[in-house]
Amino acid sequence: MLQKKICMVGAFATGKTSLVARYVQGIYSDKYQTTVGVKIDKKVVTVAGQELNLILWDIHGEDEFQKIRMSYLRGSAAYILVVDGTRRDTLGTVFQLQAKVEDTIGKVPFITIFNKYDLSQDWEVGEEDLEELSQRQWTYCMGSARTGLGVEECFTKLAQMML
Amino acid sequence: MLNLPQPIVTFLCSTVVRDRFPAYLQVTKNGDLLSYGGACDRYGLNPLQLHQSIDDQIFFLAGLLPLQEAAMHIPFLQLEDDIIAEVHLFAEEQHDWVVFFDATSENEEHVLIQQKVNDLSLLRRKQARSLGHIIQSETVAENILDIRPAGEQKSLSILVIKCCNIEGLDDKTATSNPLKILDAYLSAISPSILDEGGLVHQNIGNSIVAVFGVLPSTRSSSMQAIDASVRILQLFEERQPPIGPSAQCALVVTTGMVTIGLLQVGFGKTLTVMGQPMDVAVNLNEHSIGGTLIIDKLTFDGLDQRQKSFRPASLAGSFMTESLCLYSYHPLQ
Ligand SMILES: Nc1nc2c(ncn2[C@@H]2O[C@H](COP(=O)(O)OP(=O)(O)OP(=O)(O)O)[C@@H](O)[C@H]2O)c(=O)[nH]1
Ligand SMILES: [Mg+2]
Repeated sequence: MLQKKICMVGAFATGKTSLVARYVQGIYSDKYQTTVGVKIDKKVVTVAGQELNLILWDIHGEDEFQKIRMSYLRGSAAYILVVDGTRRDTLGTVFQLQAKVEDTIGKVPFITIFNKYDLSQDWEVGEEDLEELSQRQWTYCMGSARTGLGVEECFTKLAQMML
Repeated sequence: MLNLPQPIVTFLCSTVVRDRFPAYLQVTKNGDLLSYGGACDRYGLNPLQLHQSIDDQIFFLAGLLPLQEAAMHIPFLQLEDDIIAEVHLFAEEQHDWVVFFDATSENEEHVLIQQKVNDLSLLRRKQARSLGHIIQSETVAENILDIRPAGEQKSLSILVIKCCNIEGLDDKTATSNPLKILDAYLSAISPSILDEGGLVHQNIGNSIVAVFGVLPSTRSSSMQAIDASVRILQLFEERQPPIGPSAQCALVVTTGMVTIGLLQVGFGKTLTVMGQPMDVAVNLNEHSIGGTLIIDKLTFDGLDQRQKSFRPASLAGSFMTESLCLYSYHPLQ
């Protein structure tokens, strides 16, 4: 079976672990338990009639004390940039990370997910931010690990981009 | 080995190394498993088949081998359930090696610290966002702020910041939005408070009240409050937007025992600070003028070489000043 490594990257507490838990196990918790290091999960999916074994690298959040080691990204077929839509600065983190990732592993497909879409009253990401993404020709989607909205679609879209 | 006597080497091997359950894999440059050994079971590395592709057997290695760098280190890798492995990969001419150690307990310690750091960062954000409604839940207050909900006595420093002469604030024209202007000012000031370890307690009119000493710090609460004050004065001097050309701030810091606790206000809990230092700070602030920083004696006593920037002062108009020993800030050139 075809193995595809996919990395989850983004600032801390944006919902990387929650998105993987929602996608792989269909579960969600409101309790925040930070990831220190890397957690590996896998899921078999069928895309366009082809079976893929997705190997998901849930990497700790980027912050002052824990910089993401770019060597973790080696061998990735694709990656997911996770933004917390209620914290606009996490979009800035993603811009920086994307440049570093591309420096390390070159151009591979990636998708940006604006997570926590259920918290629309606290939403900080604006139209002009989405316009900037469009200008960069980035694929993005809205999602919520909490309600499950858009999560499956996001992974599926990325899987299609990899084929 | 590093010139260590044999008994030491034996000791290290039997304790430091063995207790960490080493395991290894040897992989050819084509990605086939050549040999393995050690505590592979512990990391869920089984069943392993020699001379078969490693990528199909150990998923996380997919894409990593053959190694592109001379070595790679993953300090904490969670594969199976509750075991966290420290993984070293290193290359030799003919093959690559992968070495595993058990790092579960180290990981636990790191998680404890990182969790606190992240929780605090998130709390800091929440505060910066909604001045006043600081404490969202009792648990946060107890776990992070260390406040007993029933209330307690604590020595804190109180900083009151009054913004004066703000353009457009008293403007009655329809175009200006005073709330928006004030909000911009408060948002510009609050990072200086939060970065020095303070809490934005509340805002009254165009004044902000901040408290220092609630969150743990290696500096005294006085030093934290003074450092924040100096940053705020600088902010007004630099006049970066939104600080307008004539805007000024008047700062007062007092220190002493207060009662702090959580009050049920409406549906949420609010941090409450009561006591003489609070009353004095608010009173002094009413009478102080733009561009000044006034502190009381207890604040002064809590400073180190920062004391050199302060001189005895008095405040006209305040009935409290007669009985109080006050100092004002004069930056050293
Ligand atoms: N409301 C809401 N909360 C979410 C959502 N996704 C995650 N969270 C919450 O956000 C917090 C952080 O989620 P995690 O999945 O641990 O975030 P992370 O990116 O893995 O964090 P680090 O491992 O620290 O980098 C947790 O309290 C989650 O419950 C969502 O879609 N909606
Ligand atoms: Mg995580």
